[in-house]
Amino acid sequence: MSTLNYVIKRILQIIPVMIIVTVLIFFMIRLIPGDPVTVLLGDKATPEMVKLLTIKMGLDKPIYIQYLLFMKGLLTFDLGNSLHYKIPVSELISKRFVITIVLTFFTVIFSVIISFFTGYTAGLKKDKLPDQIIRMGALVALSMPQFWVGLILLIAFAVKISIFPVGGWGSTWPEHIRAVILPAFTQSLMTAALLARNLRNGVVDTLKMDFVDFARSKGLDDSSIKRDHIIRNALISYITLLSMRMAYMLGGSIIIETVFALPGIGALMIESIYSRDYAVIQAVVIIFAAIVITVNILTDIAYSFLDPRVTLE
Amino acid sequence: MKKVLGYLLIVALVVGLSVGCSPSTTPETPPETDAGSGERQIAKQIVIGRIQDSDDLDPVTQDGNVNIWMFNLVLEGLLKTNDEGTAMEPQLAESWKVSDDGMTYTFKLRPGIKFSDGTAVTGEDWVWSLKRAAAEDSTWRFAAADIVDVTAPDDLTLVVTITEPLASMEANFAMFNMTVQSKAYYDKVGQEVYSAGPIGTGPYVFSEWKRGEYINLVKNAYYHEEGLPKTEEIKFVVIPDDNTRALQLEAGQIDIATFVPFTKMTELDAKDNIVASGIPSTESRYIVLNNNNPKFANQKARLAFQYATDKKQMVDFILSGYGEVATSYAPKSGMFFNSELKDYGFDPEKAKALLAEAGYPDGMDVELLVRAGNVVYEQMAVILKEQWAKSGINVSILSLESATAVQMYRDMKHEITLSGWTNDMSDPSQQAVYVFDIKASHNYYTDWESERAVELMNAGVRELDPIKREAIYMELQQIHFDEVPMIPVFYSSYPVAMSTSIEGFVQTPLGNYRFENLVKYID
Repeated sequence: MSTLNYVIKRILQIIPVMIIVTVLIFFMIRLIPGDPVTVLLGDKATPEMVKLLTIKMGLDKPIYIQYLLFMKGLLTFDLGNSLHYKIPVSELISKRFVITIVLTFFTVIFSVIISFFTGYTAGLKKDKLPDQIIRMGALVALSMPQFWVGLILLIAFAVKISIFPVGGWGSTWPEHIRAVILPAFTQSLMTAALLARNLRNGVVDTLKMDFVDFARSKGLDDSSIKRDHIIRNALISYITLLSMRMAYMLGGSIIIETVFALPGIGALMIESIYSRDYAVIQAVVIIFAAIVITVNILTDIAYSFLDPRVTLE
Repeated sequence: MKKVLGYLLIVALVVGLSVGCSPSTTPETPPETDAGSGERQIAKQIVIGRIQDSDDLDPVTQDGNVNIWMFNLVLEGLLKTNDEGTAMEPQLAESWKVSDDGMTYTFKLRPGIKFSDGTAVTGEDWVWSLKRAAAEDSTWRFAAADIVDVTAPDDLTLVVTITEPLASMEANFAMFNMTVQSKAYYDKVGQEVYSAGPIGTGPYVFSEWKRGEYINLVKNAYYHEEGLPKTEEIKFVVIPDDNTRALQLEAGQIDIATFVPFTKMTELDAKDNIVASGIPSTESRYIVLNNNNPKFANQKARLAFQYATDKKQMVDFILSGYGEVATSYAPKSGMFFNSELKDYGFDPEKAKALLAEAGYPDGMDVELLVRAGNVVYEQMAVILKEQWAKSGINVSILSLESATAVQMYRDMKHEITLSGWTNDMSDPSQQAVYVFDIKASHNYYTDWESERAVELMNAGVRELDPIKREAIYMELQQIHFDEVPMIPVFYSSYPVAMSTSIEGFVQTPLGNYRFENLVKYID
C-alpha cells in the first residue's frame, strides 16, 4: 500500500492507544498520595484552608466527572490551566517543548555522528586495536552517570575555560545553540555507546554473509560494497535502536535539563509531579506518548526505504 | 553514502567552530556611568540565581516563600518591618493614631505616592487592597481577618476598624498581602494576568516572567525615594541544581547565588572573587514526635531525645557552622525570644536513664520519616540515626517523596518526622498559633496539648502592654521547653554567596529581599 495510506491506517490505530494512555495517567496520578492543594498552600495551611481551596479548584468533584470534563477539554484541544502556575497549560508547555526538541535533535546528531564512525570502524577492524579501544570506550561511556559527566564538562568547558555557558538557555538563537551543545553531548554518550556497539555487531554479521563474498568475486570495489551492501544491511537494527533511544531521550532529558538549567519539558515534568499539577502532568504524558508513537511510525516507514523486502501493510 | 557522511561532518565542524569561536559568556552588564564625579561605576543589571521559580505573584492568592520574598521589592504597605526584623516602621503611612478602645486605627498617608504606571494612589486603592486581603481564601487571610471595615475619608487618610484590640495588628499591617495595589490595573487585566505580577509603589516593577527560567524586575520610574533604587534591573534566574548554581556564580554568569548548599559555603568563601555569608534568619528545624504514639506519651521519653541529640554536631556538619543550636521553638532573631532557656546538651547516659524510667530500659525502635530531596532533612536523618544509636534508640529511616511525606504527617501517620519554620511576620503570635492551637496543624504535627498554653496564646495576641506580653511569650516558650513535644534542633541562616563586587544586599530575617541600595561595582 502507498505510504500515505499506511500513515493514515497507523494514525487510526493510535486512537485507542491514546485513549488508554489518557485514562491510565488521569487515574494514576490521582491515586497516589499527596494533592496539589496541600502543595500549593504549603506547610502553613490549616485543614480548613485546604478544604476551601479544594472545592474552589473543583477537585472535590467525583473522579469520573473530573475525567469527563478533562476529555471534553481534550477534544477541543483545551488542555486546561496549570494548577500550580495558573496559566493555560499550552502556554506553559510550548516554549519548553522547543527547548527539549532542540536538545533531543542535537543529542541525536551527536549520537549518530559519534556512533556511526566508531561502530563502523570497529566492525571493519574486528578484534584489532581500533575495535578494542572503541569497545572499551563504549563501556566507559555506558557506565558513567549523566549528571556526573555533565558537571565535569561544565567545570572543564564552562568554568575553567569559558567556551560554553554554565547552563541556562540564553536569550538569542546563537546563544541557544551554544547552550545546548554540552547538554546534548552529555546526553548522547550513552546512546552513542549503545548504537556504536549495535552497528559494530551489524557490520561484523553482514561481513560474514555470502553475498559479500559474491560481490567481491563479481569484481565490485570495496567502497561500493561497503556503501551499497554492508551499511544498508547493518542500518536496519541501528535505526530500530535509535528510534527506541529517542523515546528514552525524552524521559532522560529530566536529569540533563536539571544539571544544565535548561527549562525544558523534562524539568517541567519533574516539577509538576512534585507539585501534583495534574493538568500539566496529563498534558505532558499525552504529548510524550504521541511523540513516541510518531517516531515509531516514521521508523517503520524508514525500514521500507532501507530494505526493499519490507513493504508497508 | 560516503558523500553524505562527508557533508554531515563538514556541517558539524562548521556549527562547532562558529559556536565555539564566539566570544565567551559575559554577564549582561554594559557599564553605565553613574552621574556625579568620584562615584564608582555600577552595573545596569544584577543577576541572582535561585533554586525554584515563583508560581503566583498575586500577594493575596499565592503561598510560598518563592513569591513572598520578592514582594518587598514591588509592593509597599502602611507599615513595614525594619531590616533587622525586630520592630515595625512606618512605610506609606506617615503617622497613625489608635483610638482609646484600641479598635480604630487612623492612618495619615504620605502624599504624592504613585504606582509604577504613573497613576496616583487613591484611598479607593487602599480600601480595595485591604478588603481583598480579608476576603480571599488564602493562607494569609489571618492578617486581615480581624478587620471590620476600611474607609478612606480622603486620599490621605485611612481608617481601619478591627474586632478587638490586638497587639499583633501593627505586624499585620506590615504583611505583604496588606500592601496597596492598583485596583484599576486589576480591573483592567483580570486575575490571570494579575497573578503574573501586580502593580505597586515599591522600588521595582515586575517586568518580564518566563516561567521556569527567570523573572526580570526593572526600576520603578515613579518611586518616591529620590535616587533609589540604585540598580536598574534585577533578574532572578532559576537554577534548580545546587552544583550548577554554585558553578554559575564562580564563572560570573550570575552575581548572587541563594540557597547555596551549606557544605559549599566554606569552599565558595575561599575563592577570591566570592564572599559567602549566612544571613540571620528566622528559620528553625525541629524533630517532631507524634505524641499519640505510646512510645512518646511520657514526657521523660520525649526528654530523652533531647539528651540523645548532639545539636552542636549537627550545626557543624550540616550547616558548616552557619547556624546555632536551638533551645526554644521560637527563632532567636524574632520578638520575645526566651534567652533564659539553656540547651539540655548531649548526654547519652542521661537519655538511656530517662528511657528506662519511661519504661524502655532496653532502648527503643523508632521510624523517622524524611522528605526525600531536601538535603538538610536527609542529612539530619542520617546523623540522628548515628547519634541516637548511642542512647539505645534504633532508627529506621523512611524516606518518601516530598508530597507523599507531607500527606503522611498531615494525616498524623508518622512516628517521628523532621520539619521547620520561617516567620512571615515578626510578631510571635503567628507561630504561636501553629505550636499551640491544635486545630491549625495538630500543634506542629505532635498532637500535644496544653490548656494553659492555649490560654496564654489567646491572651498574648490581645495583650497590649509590652511587658505583660513579653511575660506571656516567655512562659509559653518555657512550657514548651519543659514538655518537649518536639525538639528544636538548630536555627539556620540563609546561605547566600555573592561576587565581591556586590554591595548593599539586604535580606530581613523573615526572608524578604530589600534591594534599594543593591549595587554591583564594575570598576
